Amino acid sequence: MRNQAEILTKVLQILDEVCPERNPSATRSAHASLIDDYYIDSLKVAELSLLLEEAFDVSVFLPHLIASVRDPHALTVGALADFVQCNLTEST
Amino acid sequence: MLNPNLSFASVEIEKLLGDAACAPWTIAQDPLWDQPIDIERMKRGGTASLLREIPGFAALGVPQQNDVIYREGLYHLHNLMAGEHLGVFLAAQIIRDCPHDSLDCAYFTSTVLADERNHMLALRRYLHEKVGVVFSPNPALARIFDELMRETSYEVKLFVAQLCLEWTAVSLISSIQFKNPEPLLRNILAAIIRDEGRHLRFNRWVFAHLSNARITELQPRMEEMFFETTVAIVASFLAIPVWQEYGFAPDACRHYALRDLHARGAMRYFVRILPKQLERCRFRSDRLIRLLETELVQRVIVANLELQPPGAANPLIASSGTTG
Repeated sequence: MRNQAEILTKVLQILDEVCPERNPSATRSAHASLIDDYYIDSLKVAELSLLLEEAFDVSVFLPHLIASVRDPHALTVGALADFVQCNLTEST
Repeated sequence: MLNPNLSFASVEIEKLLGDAACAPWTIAQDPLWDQPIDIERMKRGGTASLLREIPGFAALGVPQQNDVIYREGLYHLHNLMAGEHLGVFLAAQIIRDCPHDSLDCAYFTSTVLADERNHMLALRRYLHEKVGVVFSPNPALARIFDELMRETSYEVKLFVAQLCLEWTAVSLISSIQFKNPEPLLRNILAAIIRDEGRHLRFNRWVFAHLSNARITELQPRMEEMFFETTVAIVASFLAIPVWQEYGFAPDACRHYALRDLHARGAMRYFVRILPKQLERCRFRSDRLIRLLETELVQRVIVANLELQPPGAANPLIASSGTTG
């Protein structure tokens, strides 16, 4: 089982790959917003889901995370890392 | 053959089935059905049209552009609805054809069938009753479902219907949630997405448990169907019935829409990223990627030309659409 810091590091690495252009004033951290700082759009949702699945070898259906919150703009990198961790825990 | 032991091979699938059985489908009782929907809000919340660069589109006023984008969105929701509808019949075939030595596959697929039915009925009620607009599904999508209904392997049906078509459609449509959408539509999509998350975990389980020999046996057909399905998905982005309503010439629309899909990175996604679905299920994808790189665009154009019903474009706008 990976720890939270390892998961966050890997999630940030994958976000760098999928979203090379990000808000220049945003810090590369758990607090960054997926939509407002990483400019996630529909294609990136699909791409991120597949790359996260590949990296963690677990089902990661990002639309599920998006649909579970009232305001998707509040979704952060940390929330994404928590979602991955939750899926990893459920799969064991 | 009925399984006399009534047993599950997988604790995970038994639990997932329990989750599906307990998941409340409350959309039919959503009080928002009794409220009028805010069409103007829907028009303001659309994404950019694939035709944004075509001269005839640029010449439209903002309200008219929003109107085109709104109807494009409805067209895509109709395609999603058609996929859910046909998914019911495919699920029935999968229940019949999958192994019955344990309950896992047949019983979980029975929940997929019920979910697809619920999704279809909610989308149908929304589009017919609340919005009042009806489009025929994209012919390329209808054709791929026809092909799937004739397919003999339940694994190919499962993979193509769930991991290519629905997974892609729901992933792409989920971004509607970013734009503060009309509340009833948001609730319907959220419910659909929740169910699809369960389907994904089931599909991963099925393909993780296929034997290597079966993977090898299915490889050519899987690649072939994946390629044809990708053609159909990309072809379905071209909302030509909507564009014809506004008099845009289909040839110009195809040209500008494909150019826009390239510019947005969509073609890279379909050629390089989506084939990872095959790899996740232990199939090779190198030959498929080469095929997509060389033939996808041309096949999308051909699919559109073959299947497009003849329509009369407004010659005034059509001529402005074909320049540039």
